[in-house]
Amino acid sequence: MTVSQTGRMVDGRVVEPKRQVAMVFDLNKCLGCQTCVMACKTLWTKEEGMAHQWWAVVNTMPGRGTPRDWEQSGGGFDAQGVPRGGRLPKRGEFGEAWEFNHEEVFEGGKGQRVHLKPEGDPSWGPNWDEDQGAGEYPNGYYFYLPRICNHCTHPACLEACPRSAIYKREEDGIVLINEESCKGYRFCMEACPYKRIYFNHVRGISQKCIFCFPRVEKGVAPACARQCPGRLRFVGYLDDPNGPIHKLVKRWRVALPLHPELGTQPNIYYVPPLAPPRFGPDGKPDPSQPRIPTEYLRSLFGPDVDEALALLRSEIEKRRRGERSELLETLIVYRWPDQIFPDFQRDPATL
Amino acid sequence: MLAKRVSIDAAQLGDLDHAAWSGAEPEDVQLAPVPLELQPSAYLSRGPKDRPVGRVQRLRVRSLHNQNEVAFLLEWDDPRADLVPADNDVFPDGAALLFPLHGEAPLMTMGSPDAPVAAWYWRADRPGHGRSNIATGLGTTRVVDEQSIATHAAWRAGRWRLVFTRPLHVLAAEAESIQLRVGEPFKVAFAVWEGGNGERGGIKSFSPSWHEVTLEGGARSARQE
Repeated sequence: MTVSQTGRMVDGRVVEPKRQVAMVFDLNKCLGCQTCVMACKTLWTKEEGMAHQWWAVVNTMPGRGTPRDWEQSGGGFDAQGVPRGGRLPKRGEFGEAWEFNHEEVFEGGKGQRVHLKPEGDPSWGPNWDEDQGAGEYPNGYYFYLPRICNHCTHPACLEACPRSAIYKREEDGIVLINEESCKGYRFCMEACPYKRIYFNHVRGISQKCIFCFPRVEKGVAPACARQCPGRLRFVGYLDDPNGPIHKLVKRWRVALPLHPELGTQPNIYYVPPLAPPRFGPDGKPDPSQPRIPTEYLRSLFGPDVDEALALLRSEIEKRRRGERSELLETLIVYRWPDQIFPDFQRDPATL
Repeated sequence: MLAKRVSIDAAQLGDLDHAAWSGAEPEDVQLAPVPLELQPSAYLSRGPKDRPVGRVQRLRVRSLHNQNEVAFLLEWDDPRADLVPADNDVFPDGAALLFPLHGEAPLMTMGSPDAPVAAWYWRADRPGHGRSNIATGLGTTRVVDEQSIATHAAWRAGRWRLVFTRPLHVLAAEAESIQLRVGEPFKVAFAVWEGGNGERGGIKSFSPSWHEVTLEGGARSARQE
């Protein structure tokens, strides 16, 4: 058995794939409609043991996220590249798949008297703290953070599996769990610092986002990206200088990894959200203080976030002066799908 | 260890409470935690060293055969039966026997490509039958069959008792199953997983050396019953 080296640390360097497909999410456009979440759910996670699995989630930030408190659950690598211990989130922390009283409300004639509600008395769910956010009126704030598997360049999950059941594809860098090899040890679930791996209790295997690789191989964009009505999910190869991914991540550096200090080099990048000004004590807007505190965005995206926000603001200013901004044109996506995933424009209905 | 020959059928051999077992000479086996540094996983070998590994330290083994089937009775202390992996961080109890497929094999590496090992594996949430596995090194375990090995296990008052029963010779997947012969000594090693301690995969207790077993009888005393 030859174990693929792609994604592994060999002689002090991570073995990189030939090409890396990546996504950029523009957080200035996300409404939290959860269409991406449902696109993935209806396509991939309807089989046995998958009801509780949400490979794509959209968390309200600040918030505890999915699974609850994933940001405090360890995993990843420390500054020296040594794996950090991680905890296994419980089913209740991911959020169970609730059963609802559909029959009672829709067919039992009680629709006027009984609310549609989950059975039992849940105290947490996959999106429990939606729209709660943080801050005090009139300066409350939040934004939406869509999250999928990051298909990291140095995946903690891949190096955690003692059976090498997780591999990173050389042709596009997509990270996959081999369901025949997986024995459900769940070390990958401990090691992933983003906690995007789920356990299937019926089949006894771990499962996660597959970057819609069967679609990608046919030139069709991943379902979450294709279904997004907000046109905020860009898909493309990092090495293509003409594509939006390369421009946003490498050229303009306005798209940043989430929690880069975790050491896995994720390949999902985020354009940080601009915010309206905070209200000062006199009730007047204070433009020097955005409603979403920059310190908070630094804690998510690292110190490069200040420059990214400044560039976004200056490009908006350029437009206000009547000048052209290639960056804004790229982010706005006037033409769909060719300006958002030029290499994955194919309509899945033609497959 | 000598596995006495008895004149009972397979179902009786595989019965934990059968009187024949009281006549079987037990052997106490010392178990040790598998060293984390040996795990083929950077997360385990280089990650936190305070991870709990291999809580079970002693195993009592007995063996009987009836010329056609062989049975191994294992007993060990476990304060709680972990039967059902009810949550993500809950794992079932397990136990296994390991045999070199062709007489000799490295134990610490679970065999090698040239010297495979065969395992009889029981898990508390899979009653009735064990799994016949084969491995050629750490992390390479593969299931060969799930029918040939019968298991009967019971947990009572802080103690697991488990019996594996299998024909001495199996025809299905013949080349990947350990074949045993009366009178011919063979090597066996043991492993136990304490599910409540988060043990699974290579995180387990194991016997650090091979033990020799002979099935009583031989060419001179072989006869049909």
